[in-house]
Amino acid sequence: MIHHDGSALYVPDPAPTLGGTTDVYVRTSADSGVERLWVRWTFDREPRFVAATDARPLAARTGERWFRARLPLRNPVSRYRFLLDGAGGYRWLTAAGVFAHDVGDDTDFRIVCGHAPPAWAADAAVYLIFPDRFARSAAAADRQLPDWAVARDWDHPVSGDGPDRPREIYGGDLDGIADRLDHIASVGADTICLTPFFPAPANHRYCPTTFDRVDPLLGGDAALRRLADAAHRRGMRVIGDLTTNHTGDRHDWFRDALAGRHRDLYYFDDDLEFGYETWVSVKRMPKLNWTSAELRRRFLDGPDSVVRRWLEAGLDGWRIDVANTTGRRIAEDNTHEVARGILEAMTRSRPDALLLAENAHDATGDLDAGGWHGTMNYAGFTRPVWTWLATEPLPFLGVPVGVPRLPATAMVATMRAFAARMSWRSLTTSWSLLDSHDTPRFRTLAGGSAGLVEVGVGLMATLPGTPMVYYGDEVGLSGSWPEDGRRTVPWHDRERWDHRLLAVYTDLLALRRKHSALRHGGLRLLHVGADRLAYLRETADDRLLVLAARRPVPEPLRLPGIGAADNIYGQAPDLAPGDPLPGDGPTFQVWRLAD
Amino acid sequence: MQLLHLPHHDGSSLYVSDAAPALGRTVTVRVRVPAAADVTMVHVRVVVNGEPVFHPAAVDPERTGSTVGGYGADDTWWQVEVTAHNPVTGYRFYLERATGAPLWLTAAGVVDHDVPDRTDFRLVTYAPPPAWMADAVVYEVFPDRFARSAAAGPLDPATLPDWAIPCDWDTDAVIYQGPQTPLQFFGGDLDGIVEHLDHIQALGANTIYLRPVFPARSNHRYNATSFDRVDPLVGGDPALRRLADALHARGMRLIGDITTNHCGDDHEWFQAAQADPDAPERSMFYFDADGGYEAWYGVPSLPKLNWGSPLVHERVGAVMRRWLDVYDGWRVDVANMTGRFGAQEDTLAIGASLRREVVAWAPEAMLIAEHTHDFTGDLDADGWQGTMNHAGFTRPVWTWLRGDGLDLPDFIGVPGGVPRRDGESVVRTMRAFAAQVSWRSLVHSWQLLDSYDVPRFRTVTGSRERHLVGLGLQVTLPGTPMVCGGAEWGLTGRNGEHARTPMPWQRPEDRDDVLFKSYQDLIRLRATEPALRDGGLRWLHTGADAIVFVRETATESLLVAAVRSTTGAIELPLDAPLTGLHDAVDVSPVDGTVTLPGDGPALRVWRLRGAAGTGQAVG
Repeated sequence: MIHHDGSALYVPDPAPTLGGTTDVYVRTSADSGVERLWVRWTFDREPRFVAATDARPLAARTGERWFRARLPLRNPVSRYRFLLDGAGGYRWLTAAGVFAHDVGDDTDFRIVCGHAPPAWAADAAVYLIFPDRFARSAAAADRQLPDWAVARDWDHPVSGDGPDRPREIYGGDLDGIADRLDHIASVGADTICLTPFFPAPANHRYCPTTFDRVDPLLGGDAALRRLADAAHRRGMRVIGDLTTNHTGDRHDWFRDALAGRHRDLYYFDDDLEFGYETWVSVKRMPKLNWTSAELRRRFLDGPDSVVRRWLEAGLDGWRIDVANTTGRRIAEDNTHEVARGILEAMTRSRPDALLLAENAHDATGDLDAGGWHGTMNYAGFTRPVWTWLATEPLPFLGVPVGVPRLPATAMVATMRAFAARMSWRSLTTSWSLLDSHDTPRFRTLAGGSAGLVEVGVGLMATLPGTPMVYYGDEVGLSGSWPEDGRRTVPWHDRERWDHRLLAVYTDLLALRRKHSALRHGGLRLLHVGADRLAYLRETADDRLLVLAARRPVPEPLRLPGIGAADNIYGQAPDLAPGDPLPGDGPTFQVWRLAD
Repeated sequence: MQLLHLPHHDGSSLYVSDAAPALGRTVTVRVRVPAAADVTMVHVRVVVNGEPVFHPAAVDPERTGSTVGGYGADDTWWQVEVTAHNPVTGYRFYLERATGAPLWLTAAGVVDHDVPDRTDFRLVTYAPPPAWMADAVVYEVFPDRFARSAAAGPLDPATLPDWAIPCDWDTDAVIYQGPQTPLQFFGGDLDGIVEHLDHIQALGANTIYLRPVFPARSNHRYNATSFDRVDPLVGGDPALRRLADALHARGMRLIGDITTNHCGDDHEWFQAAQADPDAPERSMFYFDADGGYEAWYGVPSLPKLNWGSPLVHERVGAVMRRWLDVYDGWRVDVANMTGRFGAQEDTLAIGASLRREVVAWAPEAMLIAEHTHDFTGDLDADGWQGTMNHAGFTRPVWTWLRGDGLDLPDFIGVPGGVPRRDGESVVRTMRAFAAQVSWRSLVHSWQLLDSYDVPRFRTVTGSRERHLVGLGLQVTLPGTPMVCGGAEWGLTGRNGEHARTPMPWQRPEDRDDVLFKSYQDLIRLRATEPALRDGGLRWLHTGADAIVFVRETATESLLVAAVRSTTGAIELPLDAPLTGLHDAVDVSPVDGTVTLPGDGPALRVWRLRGAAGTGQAVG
């Protein structure tokens, strides 16, 4: 065993400062073949080596050898790796693992100074709500729908496809959410993320007509205030969803631009298909031009700016829609700078606000740059988990081939490939989600298998990252594609709920809340096979062993160095030293190690 | 490990229709898919404005069923159009299979699971490097140690500056560590180089990379006192002019060496800055309140330039332009640190603006960045056109070919000596770095076995035979070969300073003439075989002791087998005859398999042109 990660066991300093130093630790076992160890860091991108010394931190266990090196924090992002020498040969330890050959710097460990995520983010559990479908308040019945809307009864099946798809309005609203905070809290979530609440001629509201008010269909500005207040009274938080890349084509700004006022907010060009740039090729989503000073003023300047006024009105942060393409167009690549500007503006209103980037493929190049605190971790969590657990080859976000079924070795390889290219703090702040309003429902992907869904929820609750529950998953909503999954929660008919699944969510999120190791601990992989994996999450005084299997694996799995352990999730027997782990499956088990 | 069954794409002209597309232009990209890969459908994924978009590929009817590159009549070729939407447009392929999970094909190879975008193939729309670079063979010269001109006469200690320790070319040993190391003065000069151009040209090199010649108080001259004139000790401005003229008359080129990260503490800029806190030059450096200043590695004689100062940009830019009447380009010293200082991170912008200024002045000029570790993040940014490829070539080759008794104290700055690795690791490392830059940045980077900054390759390998295997890789892999002067005679040296032994013109017995002949042969092979300069690269086999690959063009390929020590015969599932081209006898396929000899050390090259009647060659 040769291990380092960004958790406090190995990087004790919680708030490293630029220009200072910080200690980094490496943990090895007697059989690791490591006799000498250096940390390699880069000084203004020039590699330098510091020899590590033996160390004996409190967490060190019998038979382990720990090394410590003092790392100067020269640059805002300090990249470092370890050089190992000894009987095991000359090897590198980077965030991607141990290599017996040279690898590039992109998987170096990273310590980031400044622009830290808010302290609460690492302990959060997020609950993502598509407001039209979550819950109706009593007031919803009296609302007049706009012309474009097709009114639906709460129990009407979502059409999922066809011309009515964006027009169906079920009447969920913000007060409906406020009414259901008990449910959300009981599941174990404490941070609500709303998909957009600005008025728009579509139920998903990603084509807003204004950023100036909350859609009256959702209850208007006052309802948002009520929701935020109710959430805050419970110690919960509310995150909004902002389209910084585009507006709707009926947005006030765009109408003005068409009329000749502030055309610089968008990209008008007669050679383009619609006469202006859009998000992908969606005519009703004209792309915003972040090189426009006026656009920046409207989004960022002053307490009434788009970014700030809704924080002033109670939001605790923003999820940024298609953050990956915000500020990018042809030769313009201002995404990092835009992200920094948004965070800076947010911080003026709320120093502890969270800024989270939607990115459906590879966010790693956009994190640790002083802007986005984290991402929706589709690439490094959702997709790899799907490849391991999904039984239905359903599509994923524009990928033309259904999700393949792969061994856990492939899942872990993908998770590590992405995790290794971001700092530990960006990883733990990023959202681990099994599904969302942009994907099929995970339950459907898993072929309805309660066991496989439990394994997925278990991974979400116990791997580094902030769990994000998509509303209704916990009671068993299904859906084979994004719009199909945007179903209503059957509050009035709890016979339709999957109560066993609800207990799985509740118990696993409670486990995570109870054990700091699951929120703040390091991650050590102990075993990865095709059908099962085992890992440790550990802090200095809390060590949890996790076993996940997608099917029975008869070969006994004995993990060296694991002593007695009490089962705390999954109802497998407690472990005595030398016991093999149970071979049934699908299964998800957690033990707390006795010492 | 056999790799011939895997689908393949690279950035060469065989696979990409336009290596230098204009922004917004559409390019056809192709994938070669062996029948054994069992692929039923190919998609390309292009990242447009940061958003991935998929397009279906179609079977290329012209190439499919034909031998392309002299082999593979059973292969299916897929093609799809990709628009160069952004200045650097990343793309990769997604291959559906009849059975099994789909595969991603990125520049790092084929994987069955998702990987980040970092190794996507790249279309680059920035202005391409000058055409001559791709055919260059570079020869590095250390002026004080290469040759002393006849006209200069014997070294007269009385004419030397106070810092210099006069040394005799023939009898004084190089002192390679300690305070005297930078002070030993052997008296090589620029006219001495002119007198030996026949040697360099006979070797096959066509471009001289000249280490610094600005005046300085050291033999290496990286601590320049001025960038405005050539050191009189090497002949002054007229001598540089003569050298450039002599080279250009032969159709050869001359590359200068510029330090953009720092200058000498005797430099006129720094002297002015230090003398007067109100001098405009003060802003060019990082002074603290007490008059202390930032220096390269804390070496006080090398104060770091502050690129936050417009004056630095103006003056360094002017220096780089003004010498382009003699130089054909610059090698940029410590490019990795230039413009980086704490939270300041301007390296890419500096590289881009310097390149534009230089090219506006001299359109055919080139810029190569020194980088001794991971250069990948600094290329494909409209600045440096390539790097000195230590990370992706020098280091892996050393680990494969190092001698048994090698006892160097470190590995080019990495503690712990030069490790020994097998061929799989070597190729993995080469691919890890190559996959993170565009094809064009790879082929324009300098492939070096050694330089005047590191131990000699001959010392690393300890044998002529392994040295030749390294040389063979240097001339047959993508990239521009850079020969450190004296390597062709097998000179030795335990560190960069030790490598600066004066060239033994006067001592034929100190020269490995057999090696020189092999240098000529292999460099000529590269010069005469288009596949070695412009061909694609497909790895076919990696073993502990053998590495096999092809360089492909449309009509033929060259197959290269490098063997570091005798191993078993190498079988490849290749149904095509091999014609021996370098150190190799012809090989005929038997039952669809060719068997290559496993004895070594050896570097063998065959021509692969298909058998008559197996299909039409596609041009």
